[in-house]
Amino acid sequence: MVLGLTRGWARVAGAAEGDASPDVQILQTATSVDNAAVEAYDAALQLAVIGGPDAHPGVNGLFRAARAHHADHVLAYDDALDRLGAPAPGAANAAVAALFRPAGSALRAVAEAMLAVESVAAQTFQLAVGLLEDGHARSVAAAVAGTEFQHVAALAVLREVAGGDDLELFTLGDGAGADFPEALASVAFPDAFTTTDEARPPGEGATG
Amino acid sequence: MTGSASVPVPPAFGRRALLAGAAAALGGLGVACSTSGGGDVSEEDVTGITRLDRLEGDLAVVALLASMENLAIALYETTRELVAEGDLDPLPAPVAAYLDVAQAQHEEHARAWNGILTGSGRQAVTGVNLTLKTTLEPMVGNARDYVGMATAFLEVESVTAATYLAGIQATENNATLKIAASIHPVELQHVTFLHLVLDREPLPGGFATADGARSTTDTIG
Repeated sequence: MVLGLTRGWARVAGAAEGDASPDVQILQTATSVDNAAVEAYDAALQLAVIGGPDAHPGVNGLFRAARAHHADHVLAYDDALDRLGAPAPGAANAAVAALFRPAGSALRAVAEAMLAVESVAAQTFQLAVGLLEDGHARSVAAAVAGTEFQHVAALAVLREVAGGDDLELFTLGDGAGADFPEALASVAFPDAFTTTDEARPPGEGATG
Repeated sequence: MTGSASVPVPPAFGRRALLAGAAAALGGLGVACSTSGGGDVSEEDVTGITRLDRLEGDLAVVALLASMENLAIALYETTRELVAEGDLDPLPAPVAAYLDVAQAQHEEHARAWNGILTGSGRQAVTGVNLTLKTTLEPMVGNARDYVGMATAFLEVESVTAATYLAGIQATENNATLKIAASIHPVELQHVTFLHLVLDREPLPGGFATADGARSTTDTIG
């Protein structure tokens, strides 16, 4: 193979030192990040604009689906940790949890705050894919990262249309799909390559 | 991002042939004969790669992914041609915008993979994944409106994303892995957007899957 680089934890700045293996530390960080996302969605669903009786059903459904995904991701990461004989941290990643601070109660503000959570989570898991040695753990991280970047896309679109008539795009079965504003394609997938610039340090959530 | 090879020009997708009742067979070997990558190039290399499994290890995965990207590009180019020639109604603005942005991204992805191939002394893949193309052709041939075409887009994007995940699971080389990990989410974001366009649940599953992934036994051309 011409490209001789190898996967490796030691190449990551900010890697935590400790007794746990690099894979365990990465997975513990991952599950802490998804725990924070679950908490953020729980908080969002308490808001009238998301979980109230007058909330848009499509938006409510989007948040409920994403919340369920994150809960499933926690289970998947916890299972991967169990396979490695390591405990799941249980706690939420404080830095990620702190990102959900909507600047107001309007839908756009809530979407913006959740987008911040999702972006960091997705990038943290993308980073993990390139670091994990264990094949199963890597597959889990990749499957999760892809899904969370889908959350990012949906929330980016929601943020853009929040407050306007185009919110009906999130009403399923109404045939409004062709009525998207033209610019939303660039909003949903702005870059040809996703990055890890906002990823949390891979050892941040390690509990040993 | 990696990649310095010229943008490949995939062969036409072939709906016009289908519409005319002609055979769907298209293209030749579809693999450029690149001499820019350096290194030892075998006789097989310069006569064209039609079987991905002739490449060793990760390079076979890289070539497979390039062929998938080229297929998406070809599909989107064909869609534009169908509209331009009146075989398909003009696309709604969001779908037309989708084509422009998504195709440009697929071209960048193809350049990244072909950069690895040519950097390894191999040829850039300019052909498409013929195995999946065969599956898509009836969808394209039967499409009467943007919904039909977007459904074909969704198929190629979904299968491509699945193939990326399978590639991530199989790849040994870390640089290749990281590139795949930075493209896989983008293909899935295309899927999400198409779900919205098609009035479907935008987040249908909690985990990306490799179900339906193409393999290195596929043919390209």
